Amino acid sequence: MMDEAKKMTREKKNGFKQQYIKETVFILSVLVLPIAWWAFGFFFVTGESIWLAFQAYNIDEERFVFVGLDNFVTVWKSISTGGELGICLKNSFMLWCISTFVTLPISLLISFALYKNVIGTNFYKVILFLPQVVSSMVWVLVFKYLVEYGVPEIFPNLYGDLSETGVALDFLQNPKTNLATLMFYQQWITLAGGMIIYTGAMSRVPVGLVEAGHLDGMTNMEEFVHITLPLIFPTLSVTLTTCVISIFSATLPTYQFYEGTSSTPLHMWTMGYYMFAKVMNGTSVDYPMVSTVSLVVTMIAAPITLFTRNMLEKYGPETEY
Amino acid sequence: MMKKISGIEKKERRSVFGIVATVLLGIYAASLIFPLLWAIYSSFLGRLDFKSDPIFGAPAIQGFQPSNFVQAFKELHVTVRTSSGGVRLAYFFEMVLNSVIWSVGSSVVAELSRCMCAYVVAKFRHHSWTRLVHSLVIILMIISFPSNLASSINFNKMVGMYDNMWLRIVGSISFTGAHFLFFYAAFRNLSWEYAEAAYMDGASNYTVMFRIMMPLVKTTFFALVLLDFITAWNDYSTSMVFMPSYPTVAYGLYKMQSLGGKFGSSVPLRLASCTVVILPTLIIFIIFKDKLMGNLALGGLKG
Amino acid sequence: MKKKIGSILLAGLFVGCAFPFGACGGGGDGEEVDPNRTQLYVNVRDCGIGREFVYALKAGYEAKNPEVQVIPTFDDTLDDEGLQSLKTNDDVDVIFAPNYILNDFVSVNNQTSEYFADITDIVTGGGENSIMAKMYETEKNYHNVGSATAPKFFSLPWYVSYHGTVYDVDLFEEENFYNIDGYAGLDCIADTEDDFWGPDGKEGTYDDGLPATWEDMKLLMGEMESADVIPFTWTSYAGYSDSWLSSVVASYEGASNFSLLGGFDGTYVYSENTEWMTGGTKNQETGNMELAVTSANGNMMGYQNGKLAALEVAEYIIENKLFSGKAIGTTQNHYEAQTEYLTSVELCKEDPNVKRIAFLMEGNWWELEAKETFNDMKTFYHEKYAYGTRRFGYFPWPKFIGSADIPDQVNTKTTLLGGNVDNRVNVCAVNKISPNLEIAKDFVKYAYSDEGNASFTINSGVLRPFDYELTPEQQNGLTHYQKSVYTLSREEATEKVSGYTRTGLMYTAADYISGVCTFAARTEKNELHTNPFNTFNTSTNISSAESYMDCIKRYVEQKTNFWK
Repeated sequence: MMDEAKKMTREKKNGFKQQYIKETVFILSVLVLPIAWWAFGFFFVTGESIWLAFQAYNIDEERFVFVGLDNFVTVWKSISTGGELGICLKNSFMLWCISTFVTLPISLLISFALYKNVIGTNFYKVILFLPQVVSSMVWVLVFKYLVEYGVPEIFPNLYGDLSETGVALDFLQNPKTNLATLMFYQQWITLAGGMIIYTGAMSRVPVGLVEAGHLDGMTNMEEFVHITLPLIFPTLSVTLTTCVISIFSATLPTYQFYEGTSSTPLHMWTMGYYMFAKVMNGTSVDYPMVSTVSLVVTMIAAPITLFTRNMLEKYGPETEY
Repeated sequence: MMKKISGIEKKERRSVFGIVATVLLGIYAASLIFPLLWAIYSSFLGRLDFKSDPIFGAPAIQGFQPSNFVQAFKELHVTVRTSSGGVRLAYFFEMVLNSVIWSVGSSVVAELSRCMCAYVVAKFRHHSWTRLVHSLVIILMIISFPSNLASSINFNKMVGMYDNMWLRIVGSISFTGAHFLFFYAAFRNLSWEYAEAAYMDGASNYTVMFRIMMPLVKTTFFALVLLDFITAWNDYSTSMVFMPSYPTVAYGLYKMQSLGGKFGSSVPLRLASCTVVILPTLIIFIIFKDKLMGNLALGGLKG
Repeated sequence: MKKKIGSILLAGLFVGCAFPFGACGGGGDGEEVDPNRTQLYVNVRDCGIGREFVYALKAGYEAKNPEVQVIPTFDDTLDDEGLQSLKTNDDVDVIFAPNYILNDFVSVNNQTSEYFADITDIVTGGGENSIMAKMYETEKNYHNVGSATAPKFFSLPWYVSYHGTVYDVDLFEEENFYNIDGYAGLDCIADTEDDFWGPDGKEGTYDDGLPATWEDMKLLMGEMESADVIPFTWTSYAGYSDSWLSSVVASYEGASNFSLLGGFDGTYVYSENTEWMTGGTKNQETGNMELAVTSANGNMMGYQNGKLAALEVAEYIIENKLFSGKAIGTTQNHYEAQTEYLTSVELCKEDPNVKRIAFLMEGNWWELEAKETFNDMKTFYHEKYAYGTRRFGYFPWPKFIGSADIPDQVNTKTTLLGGNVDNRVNVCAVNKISPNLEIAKDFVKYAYSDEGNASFTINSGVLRPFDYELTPEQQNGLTHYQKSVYTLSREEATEKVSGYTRTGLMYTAADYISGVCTFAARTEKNELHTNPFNTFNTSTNISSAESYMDCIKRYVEQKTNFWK
């Protein structure tokens, strides 16, 4: 009797082991190729640049030399004294706040309305998708012309009040308003950006659950808060996580609006834009600074992001359906 | 066939939420349509009329210029090397074909590989290192080291992908990026019961992945492929830097507008050429929008 | 039904993609390889000056060397960073590229390059007629990594772009804007003989009848206002307003002072101390102040007196509304500014809100970029607006002498600013691993011969920084404006100024340099300003040239402390 029990346990153990090996082989067969491919390319193309963070160009020797943590000190000084990077950091944070606390909720409500099939849904689906299809060049051009020629036609004195000389200086060039204008533009154009993903997630919410709720007298907003949000939470948590990630990579479309980095007012730079502009306009001598900023950003953002992810997974609503 | 609208939906449409949402969406949609109407109207103007009054100005000097579209269509071309070392011009249709092959190929390969990776990471979480892969994906999204253009080109040459569109499509396999996380979320959302039933019937891991689980996230898959497709369609730099013999329309457009002269200097011509380039994407979207955007009939997981 | 329409549309799209290879493809500019000749690939990175010049060079070279087939290519990646791929790229033999930084490709210490072939022999060969002998000094200093006696060249300048002011000659004649009553000339005394001799102070030269000093210029702009003419327009693109303001600085400072902005090695000569420019000692012989400049005090060049002069001009233009409102919008890119400038002659007749514009702030390649607007104006308005028919001219900037708020300038020459203070230049070079090295070098030699230079200018409208002459027939092929630049550049009283330098500091601290050399400024409240025109037009804490100078000084000092 005892022997049989032992045998069964052993068999069970063997079975688990076998299954474990089988699973491992399966997992490896799927993951190895993409990961190896990525690692190969990553180290070949950018491997060197991590090391650059600890180097600076020496003109006498005409090569990069090791400078220890000098670059990090420079970055810290720039942030702490309110230099370029300080301004960039502030703008990046502001952008994150707006996209997380303003745009995301509106975007979710738009998707919910489409999911609820409000009047004209089919029409809206096409129209709201346009910002993604139509080249950003067109939107930027349109927006610029409407701001500079369209708005003064409707409100002839609007810009006059903003300018001491009375000559039109529009929202895009006035240093008091241009940051806000571009932030508005970016939110306006990305408002329905998550539409495809969210409606996709919402469509999988069990119909029975919703119908039952409505029979109990649940309103649409109650459905949104109590059923939809919890059930699409895994998708939503991805957006929230990527939002945190993008604190440091997000940029305003300044490059397109002001046609080049040199015309972009400095107070509109973000961390992402700093790195972009340095690579676009700088020499290879600037690479160490970009690498340093990139490392600093990674060191700050990685723990925050992983923490956010873990919190969302831990405290977010459990859903499986 | 018209979709049947249920009683509840009808009720919802007339509810306060339905009305308010319709109105607000209408305002937002109008704010998108109006500028586009302006763009289309302006693309029919001559440069002198546009300069004289850019906001729906009358075509008083040059009259309407439908020839803008003919010009955009004709002059959208780039110079490419022939295999023998000569040079030739690649025109619109060749570029559209390249764009279609590249955009569809690269986005399907990329999303398929991401989907597979996300599946194993989401469903085999008891293998602790799959969690590591998940963390790696997140960290990689944060890191943005400057990559040297020359070493990128050299890498592509080394592995034979340089100027080889087909190999580049294969090389699009990936496990990184936000799209991985969406697949991950989608698989975490799914009940494991379906898979277990199949395992009971003796199905292999591959059968379960390809036949059972992946079809369940097809809405997510198509949506992400579409997003990738649009990105690839509008991206001119890949074609310019890595596949010079396979010019895409986005590259043609970039080249035409950066060249200055006729196109750079005329807003109507630039708008006309943009319209010509977005048409294919728009048509594809309108055809597939119901397949791509989740609605109540899709998903296969009702109640 | 919907599905069916969709499928048809989609099928149509794909069929459409497939069939017209033959219909549209091939032909045109295409060129097949001739197996009986050696192919030479010349890559041109497209920029404002067009492609005609390379086809002209091809024709010229092939006529002389029938065994060679020159094939122009237009690969955009061979620019700046992408040029580094030349190490493994033997598909191209000769490159013409903008925005090139010599230090990235050539080791100045070792006088070697891993990318470009040594072309010293073709540059120095030929004695007095050699390419080197004809090259301008500033360009030589940049491209010659050897010494004057033992030169070493890996690159040559592609072309030179002169920034400055364009004026409408037809308008000046119609409205009689020459010889305005009250002009005082360089001696600042009205009713003397030099009143109408222009800024060079000589009779019978190019600039006769134009204002000689900034005070005379103010009279001219007043005259324009009363004739319902707007003096200025420009593009909001900061690179342009920076370059234009720099051309005013260069005119004030002259070549020697201006080169100190990026070079930091020499003597800064000025007339009197200001709040910002101090520390010089008086040279009793000349009466001028002199300050030795090294990299240690080079930051002072960031607020030299010429900048004050340029800022006074910007302030005056904005304050007195002597500009078109469109100039400060984001929609007015350089093409749009050209169109606004050109069409104002007709639009002012149709629309009471539009006025004719006298000056455009631009570079000397502008007409080629605006060619389509000329064409449209010819088609839809009148023959007289055709490219090459309408007359424009390069406007030599008046001198700052006798102005109350600005110290008198020391420089007496007319200046042409060919390149802002920068470490990037337009370049021509030969690929080091070109399979046809000798032919490639021979082609470059031809391209920079007198014939090649002339052919280049006729086909691109811009000049090369070399001494070469165009025959009267060739000059007739230029537009009035191009000819004016050519004439001015060949006059003895004209000094060609270039801001770019190859100094170590310039390369390693580009960010610092950009602080010194541009109009970046920081207020006490830490606001950053880069475009004086926009700044003066807004209600900000910076309302005058003087307060802007304070902010420039603050910015430059912070930069200096920060980056050093």
